[in-house]
Amino acid sequence: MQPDDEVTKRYRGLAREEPSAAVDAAILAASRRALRPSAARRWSAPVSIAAVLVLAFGLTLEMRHEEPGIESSLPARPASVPEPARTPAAAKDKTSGVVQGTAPTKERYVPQSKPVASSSQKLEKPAELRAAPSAELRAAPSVELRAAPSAEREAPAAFPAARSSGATPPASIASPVNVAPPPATAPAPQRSQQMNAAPAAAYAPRAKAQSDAAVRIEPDPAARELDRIAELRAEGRDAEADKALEAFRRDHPDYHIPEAMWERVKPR
Amino acid sequence: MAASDEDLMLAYAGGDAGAFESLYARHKGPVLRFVLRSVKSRAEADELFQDVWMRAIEARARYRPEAKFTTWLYTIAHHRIIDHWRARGLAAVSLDDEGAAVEEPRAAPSSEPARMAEAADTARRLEAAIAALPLAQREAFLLHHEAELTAAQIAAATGTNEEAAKSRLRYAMNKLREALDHDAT
Repeated sequence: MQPDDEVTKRYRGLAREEPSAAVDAAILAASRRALRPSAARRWSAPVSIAAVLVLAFGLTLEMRHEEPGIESSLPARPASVPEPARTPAAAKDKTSGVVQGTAPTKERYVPQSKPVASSSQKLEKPAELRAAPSAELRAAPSVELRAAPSAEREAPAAFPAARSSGATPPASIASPVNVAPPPATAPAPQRSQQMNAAPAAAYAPRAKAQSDAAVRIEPDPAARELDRIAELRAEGRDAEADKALEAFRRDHPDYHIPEAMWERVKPR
Repeated sequence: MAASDEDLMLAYAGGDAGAFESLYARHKGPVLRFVLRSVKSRAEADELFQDVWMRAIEARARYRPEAKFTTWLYTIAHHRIIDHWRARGLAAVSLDDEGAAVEEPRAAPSSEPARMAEAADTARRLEAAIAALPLAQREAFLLHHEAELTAAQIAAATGTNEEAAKSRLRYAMNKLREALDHDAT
């Protein structure tokens, strides 16, 4: 190829077109844009961190929100406990005072995932309480009867949070069982057991078993009344049952009749 | 001493935007003219021209300095033009379209109107002859005269061998010379 060829010389004389300024600007802008990290890449790390922080904060708030719900149910619960302390055996060593005063603190919930025994260790002399003779327990029915309704009414409010968090029932709930195990010889009425077991059935199985055990020794006067009404129904004495039910409603306007019991006492 | 094209391209791939601006300033004219004389339409040429540079920008990370930058860049341009013609069924360039598609050549200022007219006429004839060349020959001619590629580099850019590139270039030059001589006589 000859550099000074006529064709080459002529070609050099042709127009020297150049791209327009707009095209120049578009290409140069694209070249700069290509060097910048994409928005997704640039923001992915901060957004991820922010999401984790928000999630952690939300979970913390949620947990803090749930905890008071568990605790708020506890102050009433110990009220159902003290009565066994009036038994002669318990009164001697003042264990009842300890049980009554066992304020439901947060620490009491720590062993939720631990065996019940660990929580019972916090009670003073639990062994003595467990060892209380069933005869003695039977000797204090009025106390036990008072305790049962409160446990029944409060449990629904107390347990949802525990259920949602998958925790086992608080140790303080187990304490009535530990403190006053069902006497082997105690002739607990079958109907009473069923009636009181109904609300507990809504909770964890363990809680149910514990409340069953507690109820066996703590019949509720209202429950007894309902039992009586149910017996009247069963005997076909509906008029008397209706009257008794009306009276019951007057005396216990805020008493929640368990569904199972309602089926037995409802007007025919 | 000015940085080589290869160094500038590597610098751009490494994040130096200014390196690309230098590269672009060096090669934008030849690339545009190569494209413009390959497609014969300023609008199409602008579109292809932008595509070529966009592809170069996107492929910056794959650039290896073993290849001369201009060879690499015109390889991209060659492929883009081939795609363009394939999209049109490899239609031959019509000589009838060239006048409307390409700007009128601007001759160098001259005080002699007759000479100006002659120069303009010669330029028109040359452009017409270039447009009439077979695609491969025209491409070889343009790569040599605009991009200043050697026969070997033309071969590399167009995916052929060096002998074929030399042959195409020789045929193109002969035809253009004949066209100029024929019109002159």
